[in-house]
Amino acid sequence: MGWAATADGKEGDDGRVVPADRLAYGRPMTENPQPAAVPMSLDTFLRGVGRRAQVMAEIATRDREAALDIVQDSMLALTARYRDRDAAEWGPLFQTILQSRIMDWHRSRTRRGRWFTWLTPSGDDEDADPWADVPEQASSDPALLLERARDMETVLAVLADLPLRQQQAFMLRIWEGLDTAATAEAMDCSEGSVKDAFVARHACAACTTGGRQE
Amino acid sequence: MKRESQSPLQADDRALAHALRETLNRAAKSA
Repeated sequence: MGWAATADGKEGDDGRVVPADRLAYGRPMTENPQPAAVPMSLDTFLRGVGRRAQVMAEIATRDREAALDIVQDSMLALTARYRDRDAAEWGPLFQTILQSRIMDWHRSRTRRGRWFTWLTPSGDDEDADPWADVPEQASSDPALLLERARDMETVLAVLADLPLRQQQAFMLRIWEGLDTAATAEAMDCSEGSVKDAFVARHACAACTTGGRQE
Repeated sequence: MKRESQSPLQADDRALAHALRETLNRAAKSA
């Protein structure tokens, strides 16, 4: 089964098809960092999004088994409720479900651990500005920052150390390519918290400098 | 689509975001 976006499209590194008319131009990230590709079937969509969802959930939970459960549960929920919706809606809908499941997992952990926890990380406050405690870039050397951004171990470790809301905004805007409205809806927060330039700049700073400040 | 007023990203920011996206794609491939 293939993608329906365009017959002249080209499959990208992440398995999504980039429509041919978008391959020749580097669109500014403020528009949409990922080209929109419309899957032909729900199975195709789920195969394409599964590994990214697993990485997101695993970073958010630091628990491989929990992440697997969250992703499978999200896929089942999407299939049960939204399989008849327009294929272009599956991505934002799936991310809304996935991020909600991740938040549920964190709430459950917080409830279970409240008698043993002295301090709840401030960055996991659902109502807080997700970018309130992002550090400034430690270096202004573009080459050094790019080198860090290309190091998988560094990026995954730093992302895992970010407060959950920063993780979510980063993943949805920068990786999934959702627009600000869809990102805000998936995170159940205001659009102001996920403005393109703001998120991008601060997320990049966070991911290339070492994450949250205590 | 509703657009908010915003300043354009610097080229360095776009390059960083692209690099981070590529790194995450590699992570997903190896997951």
